[in-house]
Amino acid sequence: MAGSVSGARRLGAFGRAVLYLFLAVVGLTMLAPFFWTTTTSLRTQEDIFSDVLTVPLPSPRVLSMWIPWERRVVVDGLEVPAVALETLERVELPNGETLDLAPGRVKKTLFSQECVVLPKDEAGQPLKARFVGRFVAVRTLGEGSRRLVVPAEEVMWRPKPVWENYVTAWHRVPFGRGYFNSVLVAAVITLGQVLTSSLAAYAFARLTFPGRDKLFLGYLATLMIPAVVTMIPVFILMRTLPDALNNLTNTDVWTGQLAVSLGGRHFNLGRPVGTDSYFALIAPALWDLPPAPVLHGNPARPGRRGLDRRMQPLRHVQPDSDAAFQAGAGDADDLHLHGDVEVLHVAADCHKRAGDAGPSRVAQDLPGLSHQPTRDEPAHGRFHNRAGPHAAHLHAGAALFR
Amino acid sequence: MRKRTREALSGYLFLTPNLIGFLIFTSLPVAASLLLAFSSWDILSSPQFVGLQNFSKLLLFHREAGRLVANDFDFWYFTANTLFLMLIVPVGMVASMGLAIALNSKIRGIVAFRTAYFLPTLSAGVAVYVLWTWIYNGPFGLFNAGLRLVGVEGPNWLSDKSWAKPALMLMSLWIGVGGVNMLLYLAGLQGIDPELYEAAEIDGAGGWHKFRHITYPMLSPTTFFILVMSVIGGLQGGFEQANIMTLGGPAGATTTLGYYIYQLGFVWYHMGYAATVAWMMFAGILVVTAINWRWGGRRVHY
Repeated sequence: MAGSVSGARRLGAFGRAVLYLFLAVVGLTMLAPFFWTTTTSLRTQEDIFSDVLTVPLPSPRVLSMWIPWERRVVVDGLEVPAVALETLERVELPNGETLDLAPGRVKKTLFSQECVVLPKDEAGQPLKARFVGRFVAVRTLGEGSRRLVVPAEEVMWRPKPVWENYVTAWHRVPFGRGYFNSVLVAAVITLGQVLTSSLAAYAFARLTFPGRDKLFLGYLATLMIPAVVTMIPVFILMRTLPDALNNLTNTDVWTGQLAVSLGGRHFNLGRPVGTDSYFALIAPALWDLPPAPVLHGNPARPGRRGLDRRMQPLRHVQPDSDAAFQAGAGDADDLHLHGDVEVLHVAADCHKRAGDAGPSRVAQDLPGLSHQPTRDEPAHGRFHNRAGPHAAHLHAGAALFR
Repeated sequence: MRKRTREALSGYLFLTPNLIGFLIFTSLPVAASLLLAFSSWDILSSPQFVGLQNFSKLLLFHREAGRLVANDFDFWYFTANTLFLMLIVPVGMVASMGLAIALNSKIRGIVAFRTAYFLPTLSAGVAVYVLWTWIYNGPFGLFNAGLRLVGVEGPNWLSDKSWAKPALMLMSLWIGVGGVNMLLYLAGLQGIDPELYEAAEIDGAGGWHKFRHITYPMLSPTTFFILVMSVIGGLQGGFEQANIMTLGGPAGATTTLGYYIYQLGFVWYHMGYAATVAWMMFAGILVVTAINWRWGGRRVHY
């Protein structure tokens, strides 16, 4: 059971209403940009960019920018779609004279109708006109397209989503290729990460071998180095690796993406297979390993051997470490960003679990970790707590729905 | 084979697949980068060893018309930019904590609210930056449309030298407030033993006291963790938004250290010098994190 300051059971009807109001108002600001970008994707270019023209819209302007509009004008008694070209302030006539298109004047002197065709000069060009005013130059769409000047009030606005934008975008951008690349990179990174890192993590957590601590420290040290430091060498590597792979495999189809998957450490491409020391380091800390007797056989019952060591990672460790695996797989690049210090918790935890007697070298070398449990705290106390937020990080997704 | 040998052998075997990648994609680049930091290299010709020249250009000052001038003024300016953009970090932390407390309530539809607040984080990346580029557009943008409601005509945010940074900070607040930090706080809140609150209530504690003496201290490990991570992320950050939204402009106002390194390396091809700046950034992060660790560690309640 979770307790909370704003424990809902204690909230009265009023408190509940205030809370809803707060969450809704702030939540709207979170959703509004998404809604805006969606409706904008359904609008024509002209519709979007004519918002600045001083054309009276059927609703307050702020509202109007949320709805895909179509302009229509009545020509010969028929309502036809129109593109707003510009809003006119004045018209320059071919003889060099300029005329203000003030409403009264237009009707009396220049135009005799409400809806008029702009005269063209000898070259067939429409009259030059400048922006701002109450008249809109529109082009009617469809058969017998005409260029008209109409009083702005007579432009009619009808909501109309333009789905063709999606068709256009699909044809203009190679989405298929993009999806393919993304899926390939994600799959290679995820698979490689889970495979290699779980193995490495198991070795770090459960096996003793010469040089283990040194290797671990090496992983740790490089992990704290920001990606920008290795960006340039990795870039060079990525430029040469595909060619090298192509020469090796005599193909050039996937090697580029594969190379990027392998080494795409920077620019949010996610953590590559080999450099995921981070995951290799967090996994052991999250493994709530079964008690040693289960793993190694119970000395009190000599007849019963422990599980074959080779099977341990599969049978007993994996099911308990789902969180670590999900983290490694799903959230690679976010965790990557956070790798640097978090791993310090893990280092400590790891060494505790590995059962090192006395302060480990890693713990001594890193600031803040040389702390040894005192009699007052439980053996895991300090580190366990420190791993708290870290573990929470991995369970963050779950917290969303709890 | 002896048991110990077998164990060592299997240890190495377990480690090998990971280690190969680690050596190729991490260790090797780190070593190469370290060498580069002491070299001059424009990619076209082969690298020249220049000793400490890069470092003196980066860190030292020279006299110019009787005044001390930094050898690389940009570096200091962009460092200041990076630090300025990080001013949003504490604001974001407070907001995330408050939001987590609100979203920890057991009211109907709370999961929908949590999802809504998490949405920007889910969709973060190029798309969100492009979206915000339009939101901040002067005449057509959503932000100015909102301001017009209250009769204010806003600037063209991203191309205004004094407004570009605050605009980016507001955007990162929007992206981050309901994101991973909020979830961390949420998980932290859900981990607090309700008995603590019950005991406090028996003692007559009100809402504020419960927050001050239970929630806040119990969340302190989370706060500490988020602080350390945000500072590290902030010092390294700013690349994507600069690259997508502002190209570091106007006049370098939104160029951070991360973007500067990218420009040095991949726009101007000063590979060696870029590596030097990157290592200085690493040194800075290390120092700041160590300070955080010492200073913050003492304030964390376990």
